[in-house]
Amino acid sequence: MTNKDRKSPKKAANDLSVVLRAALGEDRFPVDVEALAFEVSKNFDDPITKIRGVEIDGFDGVLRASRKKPSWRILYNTATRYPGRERFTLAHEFGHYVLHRRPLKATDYADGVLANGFDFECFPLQANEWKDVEKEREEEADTFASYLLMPIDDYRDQVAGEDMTLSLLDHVTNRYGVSLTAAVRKWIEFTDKRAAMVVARDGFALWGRASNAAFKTGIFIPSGMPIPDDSIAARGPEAQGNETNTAITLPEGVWRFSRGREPVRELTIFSDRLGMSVSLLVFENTIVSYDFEETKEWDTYDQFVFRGRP
Amino acid sequence: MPTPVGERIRQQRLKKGLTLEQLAQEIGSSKSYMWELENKDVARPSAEKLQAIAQALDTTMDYLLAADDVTEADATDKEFYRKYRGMENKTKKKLQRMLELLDEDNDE
Repeated sequence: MTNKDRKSPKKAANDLSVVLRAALGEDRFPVDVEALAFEVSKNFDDPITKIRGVEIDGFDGVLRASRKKPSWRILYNTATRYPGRERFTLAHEFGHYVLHRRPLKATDYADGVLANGFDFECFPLQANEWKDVEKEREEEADTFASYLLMPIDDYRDQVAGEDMTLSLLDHVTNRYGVSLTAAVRKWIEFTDKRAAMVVARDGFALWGRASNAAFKTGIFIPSGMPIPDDSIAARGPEAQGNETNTAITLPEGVWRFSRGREPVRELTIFSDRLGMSVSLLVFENTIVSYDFEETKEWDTYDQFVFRGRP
Repeated sequence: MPTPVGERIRQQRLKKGLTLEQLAQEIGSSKSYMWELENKDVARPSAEKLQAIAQALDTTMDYLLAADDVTEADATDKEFYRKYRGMENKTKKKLQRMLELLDEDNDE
């Protein structure tokens, strides 16, 4: 598949969501990625014929061409160390199949086995370009997985404009069968609120994301940012007292970003097992900024239809 | 993305029950430098630093570096070379076996 004629990751995932909704209605969640991958890929000459869960520490997943006939296999980690991650990993590898694979043909197996040098990465690349392309593919597969498992319209309905609480997060992680981190990250992506998430370990941010509205008011979380001493994330679970379900209002100046000080509500979830914390920050003050219009995905198909109009 | 070295340092540190601060102090570095070593793939410690860390953690430089000792040729599939490179040798062997098994299997 060349870059020009393929769908964007969001569009590809949304198209599948539409099919799932039509076929299964309310029962479509959590998405049965394995069944979907078999069903969808059946329509191609190089279907996915095997999906296996393995428990190998330090391994996520792989999409691999069969060495014998035009078909693909997915291996993915089902170890319980990361509950909720396995569905996402499987969807990610399925994303590589939908978005990035070079279709296999019978002629590729002329000698009885798959010719060498055929695998996945098939463009001649310079070493430094390689890394960027690879990174982009990984991000695209993540985007595909995120939209396939957690369609934004459905997620919006679940939240219904309410404040994010631990029980609401529980509800969505169960509904979609994803990890807490994936669910929070998705919410940050579509919420109209000024909000941010910070994933931290040992007193520093591993990474973070700000919502569009927050980003436009100067909120940005660089990797390696020190976690402020007075935050819930730094003070630990005790700082929440009995109030573990809803965010706690902190005085201004605890979390400081580039544009001054303001009060913030913080909800932090601690994972002893992973030695990490995930903080959800919601900023109290509404700062008027230009409305952000969500641009609709426009792909070559739309372009084609558009051009064909009388 | 932590490096294999960073991951090993962290595991070894936790095994010894040291906090990031304690280890940083012991090797005469700042806490944030130590954090970068463990958690970011940009940090490249000098041999002396690594030696000091190994000593503080009752281990060897060889052990801390072992996970890096892989060449691209070891990975059969380029598409997951990067992930593969970060794995422990034990993990690689297991994965390799799984892939071989899959290849031997006949489809349907």
